[in-house]
Amino acid sequence: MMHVLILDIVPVIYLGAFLFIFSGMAVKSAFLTKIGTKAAVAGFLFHTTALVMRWFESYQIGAGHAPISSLYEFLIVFFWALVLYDLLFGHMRAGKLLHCISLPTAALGLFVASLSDSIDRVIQPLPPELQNTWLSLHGTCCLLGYAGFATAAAFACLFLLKKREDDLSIFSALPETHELMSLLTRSMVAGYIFFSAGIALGAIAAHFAWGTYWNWDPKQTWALVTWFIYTAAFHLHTDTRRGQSAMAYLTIAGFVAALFTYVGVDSMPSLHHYF
Amino acid sequence: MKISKPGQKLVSIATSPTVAVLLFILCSLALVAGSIIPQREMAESLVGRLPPQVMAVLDTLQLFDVYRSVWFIVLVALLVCNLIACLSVRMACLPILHGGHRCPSLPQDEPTHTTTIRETSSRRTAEDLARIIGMHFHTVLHNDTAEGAIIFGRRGSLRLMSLFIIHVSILVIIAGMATGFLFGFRAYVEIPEGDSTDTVYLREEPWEKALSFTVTCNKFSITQHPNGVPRMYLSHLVFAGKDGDACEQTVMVNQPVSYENIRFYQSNHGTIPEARITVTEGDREHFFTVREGSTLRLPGMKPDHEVHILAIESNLMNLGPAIEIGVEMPGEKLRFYAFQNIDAIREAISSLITEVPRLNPARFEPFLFRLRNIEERFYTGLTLDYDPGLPLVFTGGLLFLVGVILASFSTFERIWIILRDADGGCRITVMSLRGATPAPLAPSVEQYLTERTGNRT
Repeated sequence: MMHVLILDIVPVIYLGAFLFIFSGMAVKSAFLTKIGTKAAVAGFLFHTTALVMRWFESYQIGAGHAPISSLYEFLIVFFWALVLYDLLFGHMRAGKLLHCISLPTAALGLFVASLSDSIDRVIQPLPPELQNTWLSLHGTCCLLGYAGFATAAAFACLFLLKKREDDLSIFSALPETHELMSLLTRSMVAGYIFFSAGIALGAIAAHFAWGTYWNWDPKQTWALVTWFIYTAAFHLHTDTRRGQSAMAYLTIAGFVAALFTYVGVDSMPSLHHYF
Repeated sequence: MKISKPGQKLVSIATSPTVAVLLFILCSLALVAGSIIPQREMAESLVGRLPPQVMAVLDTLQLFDVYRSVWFIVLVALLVCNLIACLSVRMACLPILHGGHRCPSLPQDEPTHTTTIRETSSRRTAEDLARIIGMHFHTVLHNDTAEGAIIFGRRGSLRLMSLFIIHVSILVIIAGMATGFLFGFRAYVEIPEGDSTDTVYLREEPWEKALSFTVTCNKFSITQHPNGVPRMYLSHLVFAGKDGDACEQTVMVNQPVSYENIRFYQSNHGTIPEARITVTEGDREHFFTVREGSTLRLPGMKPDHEVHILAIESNLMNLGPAIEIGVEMPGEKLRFYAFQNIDAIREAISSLITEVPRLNPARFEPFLFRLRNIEERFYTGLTLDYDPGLPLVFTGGLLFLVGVILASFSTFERIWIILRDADGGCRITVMSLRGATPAPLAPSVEQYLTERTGNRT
């Protein structure tokens, strides 16, 4: 189980990368920031390798499925996606601060996934109802969507803090609002595309598994709530400060709905009880 | 066609993004209510937990069946109206549909920049600007009007097209869902191995539906992973039409089969007890295989007598396996048990059968019932789905994704430049929009104007 060992080390690398980047930003050292960024990229490559190895191993032991079928696998793929967005947007001038949010979050999440006794890390064969390629694609797209929404929510929070720079001068160090709004929109668009694809692929998977593409299951319903919130956000005029603020608030509300879709709905009777 | 003022107001409201946002938020709230409040038969769990008055209010508001409630349907209808209204506006904006060579009019309420270039004519400046705009915009229109020369540039028609596709796709999805809801059905049936059926069960009235063909489950099987976890459930089915043609198909989880446009899905499975019994009449012995609910026709039995198998018990009163038999005769009903271990029971408690008539397997004279053994038999649970709206829904879904991806990788930009001769020079008014929001000018236009006026726009 080499991949488990790698996945135990990856959060340490992410944490180290965050510390270098944070120190670099604090003391305005481009060298430290560069080391941190390179460490983050290295961690991401290890992370990706571990996911591929786990996938490969599942075929070797006869389970044969993408690493997206248990809570442990959902966590490692979600945080992989979060770091992917971090690396995509973090290299932009206004996006540097994202490293200081995504990397420690990913490190913490992976530590929990590795250390928690209640999270089973063993690769299990899938029951017949989950042996569906569409389902793997659905899960992957949804997680990429959630990660995009998480990134957008981070930018939305930074945007709202920046707007308060008149009250608290500490926020004046944040990037300009139009830069944050641009990154917010980009990450939200990416999340929206993946999440919409996830819903569509889930409908196809449900069509093959349950005989209906939609049956108002709580998870499906909350996915639609999340989708409606982000669709509403896209209809706002963001050329005014009021419109931008409304978009930031809707982005955060959408992320809360996405979180509820991901974990909160589990308390309700659902056909998604496997996840 | 001219639209009256109140009509214009109505169109303006119907196509307003604010109304769309409001409808999305209302739909979200409705969905939240539908997911939190137990729906339909699940709502019975609230009886006793909530005061009757609250239950009555929730029921009146149709909150126990949100997705079929009048107000939810009205909400969806309003969303559809909003979509259609927005589509009609977008259709008018679509360059490929719009066509023509006339410059579109300048949008109202958007900021413009006005500057003056001295010692030049509007005609010459217009030629220069049209050439510069042509380098950046795919479509350049140049009209001379009474107000002056208008140059219009546009690029990113793909973006407009993609937004149009997105809105159409949602309508297609809703149309598909409505078609399935109105003309489709969803049913369920359990077929024991070796049995056939031509009747399935609906979730709503009329509860039962007769099929135009017969489905037989020849065999149900489960394959397993090495660690014992089920790998696959398979039902080997035979579909036989009224014309006698038979078609054999295997349905598996995630791999439905289709017959006469009805799809069959492996939904669940289980076992049902099946009893093998003998019925002795004098020196003649008859063998039967029965299940709960079976009706037996015994040789020599009067036509107005009926024998039913009421229950099959694996261990009745700790006396072992038994079946419960019910006999209906004119004016009389009998109920009694037939045990598998009847000899051992007789030996242990010889008086039991004489003292308790229900334990006497020969109660229905002249027949003596005896249970030989009980076996568990697989049944397959199948979901049936007929949804004529399905192609529409999936086409809509595909269109939506294509539209969203195209929209994400394209921008729609427009520029209007109005030139008038004034004060011995040329007075220029510029408006640049990206989507619906003001945007900076293309660098070459900016440079041209800056060089000639000395001011940055």
